[in-house]
Amino acid sequence: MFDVKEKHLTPAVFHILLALSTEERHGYAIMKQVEADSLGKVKMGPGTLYGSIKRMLDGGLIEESDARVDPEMDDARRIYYRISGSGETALKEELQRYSHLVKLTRRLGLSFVA
Amino acid sequence: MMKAPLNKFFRFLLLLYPESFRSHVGDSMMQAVVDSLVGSSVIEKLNIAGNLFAGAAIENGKAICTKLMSEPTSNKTRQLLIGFLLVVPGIVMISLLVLGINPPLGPFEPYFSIDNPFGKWNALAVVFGTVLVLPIVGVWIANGGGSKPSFGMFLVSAAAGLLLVLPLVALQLIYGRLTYSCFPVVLFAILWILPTVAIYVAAPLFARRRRNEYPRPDPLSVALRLVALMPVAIMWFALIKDQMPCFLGVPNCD
Repeated sequence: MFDVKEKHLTPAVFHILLALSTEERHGYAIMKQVEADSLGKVKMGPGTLYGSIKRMLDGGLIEESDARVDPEMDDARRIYYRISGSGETALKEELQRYSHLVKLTRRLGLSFVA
Repeated sequence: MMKAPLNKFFRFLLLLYPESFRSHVGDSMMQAVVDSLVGSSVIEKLNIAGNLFAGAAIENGKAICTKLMSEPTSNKTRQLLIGFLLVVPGIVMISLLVLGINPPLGPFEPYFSIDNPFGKWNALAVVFGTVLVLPIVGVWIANGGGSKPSFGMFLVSAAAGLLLVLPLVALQLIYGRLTYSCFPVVLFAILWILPTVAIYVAAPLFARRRRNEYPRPDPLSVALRLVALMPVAIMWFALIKDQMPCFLGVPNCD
């Protein structure tokens, strides 16, 4: 299993967890959501995405939901993924870490923090 | 929908991924590739192809490493080969010393010298060690010795050993051509085998506990590995120290 105490999340894993935190998504939808969340700065190719997905499935951070049709796309069935309990914990820990860093930079008076 | 030749090309790229990967997420990945290609420009298609190709290389590398690191050495011939290679450097070094041949081992020479009053006791200890202790240690390590034996780990050690020797080979090819009448194959073979053995023996000492697949060796294992490691490391550094002037093309380096 993925040990959140030992590892920080890689940017790819973090963005995928973030994309799945609100709803179940299939691969292409995850790619689009990651791009949107990062304001177009992170564009994940299918090779990068599924390399991470495979490891996240193995590590128990995400789970396969089911195969179904995306009403906004064609009629092909796509496998959906959802965040697991471990994934939520890992994401929460990472966001807390970021939050702490933002507070720290504010306390230090660094002007580029909004 | 994707055009047929494009479809075939991207399916081919997916076939480059390891079977274990494809069986797990292959179908879903193919669908994501198809989705990504819809309405994409030529540059974007090339980006996707490059990303898939790089991903295939990474996944194959990871699959090979996982297989190599976890594959137990069940084959008796392989175990014997590893055990043999583990003890050969020690046996060669000690035999040379016992037989009075002057090997390129500066630090050991005075200690084992015939002039040394303790020489014969040293020789007895060395013979005892050569005949009994080193083979036992070698076979024990080759059979596991407190950690899971792996022929793959041995191959990884051999590759790492080769990386250590290649700069010396380069030096020899560039500067040292005049100091040897021909390329010293045996010397470089020894210089390759020694670090291979050292890395293989030492690896479990530094291995992290990982899902109990590669547990840390017990104290006895650590002690015995250090015993096996010492002559190997000393011989390797002594050989390099002795031969370095020749690799650098110093005249009359011998």
